[in-house]
Amino acid sequence: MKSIARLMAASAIVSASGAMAADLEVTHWWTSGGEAAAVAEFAKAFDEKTDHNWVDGAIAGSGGTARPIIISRILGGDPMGATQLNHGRQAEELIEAGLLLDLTDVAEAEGWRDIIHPVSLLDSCTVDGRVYCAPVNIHSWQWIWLSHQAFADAGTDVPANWDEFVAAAPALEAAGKIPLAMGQQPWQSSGAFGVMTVAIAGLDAWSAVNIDKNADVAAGPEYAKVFEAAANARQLAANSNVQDWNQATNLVITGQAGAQIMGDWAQGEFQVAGQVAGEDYTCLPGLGVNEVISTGGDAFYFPVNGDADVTAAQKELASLLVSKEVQVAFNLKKGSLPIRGDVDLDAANDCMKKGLEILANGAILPDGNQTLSPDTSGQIEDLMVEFWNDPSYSAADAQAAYAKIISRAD
Amino acid sequence: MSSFSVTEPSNRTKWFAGTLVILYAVITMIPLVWIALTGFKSPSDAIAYPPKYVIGSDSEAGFKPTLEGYVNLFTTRTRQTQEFLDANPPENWADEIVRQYDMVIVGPSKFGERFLNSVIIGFGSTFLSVFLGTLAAYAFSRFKIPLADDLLFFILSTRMMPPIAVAIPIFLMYRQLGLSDTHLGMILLYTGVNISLAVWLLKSFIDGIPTEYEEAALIDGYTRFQAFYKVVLPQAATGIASTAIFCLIFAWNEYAFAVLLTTANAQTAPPFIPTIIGVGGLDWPAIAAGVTIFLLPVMIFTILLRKHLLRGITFGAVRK
Amino acid sequence: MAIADDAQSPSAVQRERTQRPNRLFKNMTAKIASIPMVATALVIFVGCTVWTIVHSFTNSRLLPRLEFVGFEQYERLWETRRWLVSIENLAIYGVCSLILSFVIGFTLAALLDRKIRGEAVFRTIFLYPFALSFIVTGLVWQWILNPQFGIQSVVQRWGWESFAFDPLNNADIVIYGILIAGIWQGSGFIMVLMLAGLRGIDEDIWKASRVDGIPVWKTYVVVIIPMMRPVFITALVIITSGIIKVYDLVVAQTSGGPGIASEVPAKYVIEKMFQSQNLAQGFAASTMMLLSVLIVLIPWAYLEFGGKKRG
Repeated sequence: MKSIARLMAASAIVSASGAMAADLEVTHWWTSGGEAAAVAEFAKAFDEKTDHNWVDGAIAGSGGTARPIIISRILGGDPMGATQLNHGRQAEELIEAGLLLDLTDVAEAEGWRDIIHPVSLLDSCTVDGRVYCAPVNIHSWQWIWLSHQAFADAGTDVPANWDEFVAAAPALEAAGKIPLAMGQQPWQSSGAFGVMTVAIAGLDAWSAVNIDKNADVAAGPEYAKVFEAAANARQLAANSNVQDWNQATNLVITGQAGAQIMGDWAQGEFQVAGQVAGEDYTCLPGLGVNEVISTGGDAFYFPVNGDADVTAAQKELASLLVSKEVQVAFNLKKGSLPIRGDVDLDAANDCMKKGLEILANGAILPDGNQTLSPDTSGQIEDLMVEFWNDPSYSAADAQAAYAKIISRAD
Repeated sequence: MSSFSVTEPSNRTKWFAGTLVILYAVITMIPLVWIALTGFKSPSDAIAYPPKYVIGSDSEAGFKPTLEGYVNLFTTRTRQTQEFLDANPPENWADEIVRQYDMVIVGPSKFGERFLNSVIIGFGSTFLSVFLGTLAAYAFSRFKIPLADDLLFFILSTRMMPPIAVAIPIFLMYRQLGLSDTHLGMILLYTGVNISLAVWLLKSFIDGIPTEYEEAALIDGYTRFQAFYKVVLPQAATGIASTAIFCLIFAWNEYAFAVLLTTANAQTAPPFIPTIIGVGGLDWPAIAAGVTIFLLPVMIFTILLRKHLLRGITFGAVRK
Repeated sequence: MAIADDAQSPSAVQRERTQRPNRLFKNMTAKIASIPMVATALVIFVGCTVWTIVHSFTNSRLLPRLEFVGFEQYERLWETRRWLVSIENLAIYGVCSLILSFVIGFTLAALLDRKIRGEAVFRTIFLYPFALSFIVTGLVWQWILNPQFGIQSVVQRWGWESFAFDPLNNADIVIYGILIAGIWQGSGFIMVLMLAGLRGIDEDIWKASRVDGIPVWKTYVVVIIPMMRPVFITALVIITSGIIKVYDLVVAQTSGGPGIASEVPAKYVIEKMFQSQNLAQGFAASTMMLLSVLIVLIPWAYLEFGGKKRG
């Protein structure tokens, strides 16, 4: 009852400030099949439940292409109504420059601090005690997706962890399969490396490097094992000549490749292709080694706007995005986890349930976007994309370069 | 001026030269023909293995032409449920085409808008650079301007500067002036980039126009501007036409500034074309259709002015 | 030495022509005509360039700010492998495309200058690729060079089963795959410029060289090319400006891949500025690009203009 009362109060605030309908342009980079279906849920809810209109501003390409466009529009004085960003440090300076709308009144009225779980998501939106974004989902990178058909064709069991997968790789190759599907975009190389780090070097080493920026650990023996394993994985992915992540996922879906290390957004693709978790494919959190998930994700930011009607519409959208019903509808399509612990996800499939369980157990760590600046992430991406694509780049050299980046990280 | 420099090539030389020229023309044309054909393929034919390159034939290398690419280029579509499709019969031929993928057309795409932006910005900046360029070239050609040579060289050298080195300050300047993401802002910017080349080409062209007529006109009581307008300009038309072609091509194709400085309102077609996505990747037929349409205005402009193209630079470029 | 005399005379006449009006019309108002251009050049290029250089010594991130950190950005830049690879690629691409554009452009022009029937048609055809932007050229060639449905598969289809040509997926030769597209796009334009230059040369020179019994190729090298110096300068400026800013071609064709094998400096600058949100690093890299332009430009300017004044 309490939360309902709060909700009423919030909508009272919001509706009191303006009743005119506004067109709100919302930019995002959700364009693959599963993603587009998920974002359509937001649009539908916004159009149906408020007086305002959702004007879809999808930007083709990955976040790397879309983010500069979004930021340049905000800086250039032509802001959109709302925009997707990965919360964390990407918007830091925009907030400092006063370009993003302060949502603290909405957050307090609806008690976001009580309903958002884990609360670290809200912390990522908070600067100096003020809230600037509405988190919409939790995405975790720590998954490997395995094709049942590929392993059946190779005559082996579906592996239960990374080591079994590496052991099964020769059989896959003999059956004419690509053991590991991998897109060649830098963020994919860097992401896969991050996943292997958590699984192989362990949580402590990961935290020391990514949170405390300890270059000695980055140059140390735990990380050396990771680089060795990555050099090995590089061999397994050698024949995977695709660019986009969903093309790589498609190799797994069609059984041409054995596995892909990719975040939980890959699940939407399996769903669109009509595949069933546990029957057609298997997902292993933390590579089946270390069942931890990172709680990165997407959030919506609302650029400051002079028009009071637009501001009112922005706040209504913010509250809507966090609401129970919309959370369920969106996350089921997207294959990501909801940002509140109090929603009912009976319809969730096996993989999502595994994720929810880990989340409930609290085996979580922050996402790289939240701990490293975009500059440091960019340098790591440059290093990783070279390392994954150049077989002559030795693990030791790559590790030395990595340690150097960490030593300069901020 | 239309005479050939080699006065009497032997038949053997002509035959040999002709073969090489045709060969290179074929190399040049293959990709263009490929694009044009792909615009009329279905997405699956476009990436078929082996490639299909015969229109309408039933053989393995043949494909059935379709307007799918063009429909996809100009519309946005959405997937619909079978019930919806059954309840709403297709409204027109374009709708019918997308129905085979269980989709319906929901509205126009942004291509039309982007293309119009390209036309406004491309032709606008071409006009402005040629207009200002002609005035400046005339001044440089006819008047003693201190350090004229050094100044001209300096101005020409600005063309070699990497545009990204100035993109951020321009972005900030434009934000202050309210020019960011506007047609005017992009027209001014492309004019700034193009004017150096325009002056360089036009100055040497105007240098080649004899001054006697102007002098006579001035003696007859024409003002300086009248002399320029009535005597020099008609004679410079050829040079102006060829300069305009080059300016248009540069502005039409510019990518880096367009992608960095414009987003929603004034973005031209080049940044848009590569982002046309279909289901599961780039929609090649739609991209090819976009490229074909995008190439047309420049093609037509070049054909219209082709007579001036060569003479326009001949005159000046050699005589310094 | 009739040729040399002939070559001198038109420019001598020209000099006389331009000198006279200078004395005749001393009109201040007309100088105003050149002001917009000079102002643009000064404000946009000098002003903005200086601004960029100053900010390359700061620690600007997403927003420019003046907190100076000395040469820190430059130290980091030259330690970055991606930057070194980019420079190397630009050097290979630049030298090859300069030489090939000139050779192909000039040869085509000389061939077309042999009274080829339908010359005007060929001239327009050769110019069409230039009317295709780099981004589109890159897309088209990405596709033509794609091993599954491009040249490789067509040739294999014709019966040459072992034919392999897949430059874009081979880190060692990927830059040449990009070069092919660049040459295809630009050489037609150079051809038009060269042809214009050839047409501007007096027929008498060819007649004289024939009388003197000088072979055709030698006439080109010794007499014609030196006379076409202004054409070469124009072409050089246009080609060089295309080389330095090469970005869209790479983005469309390979996105810098495989790995970082086809990265170029302009792409480094743009990505550091806008994706990594590190403006100062981007400024430092673009300052290095400016510097490399100046290294080429200053000696040339000295030769071109310093020499003339003394002479």
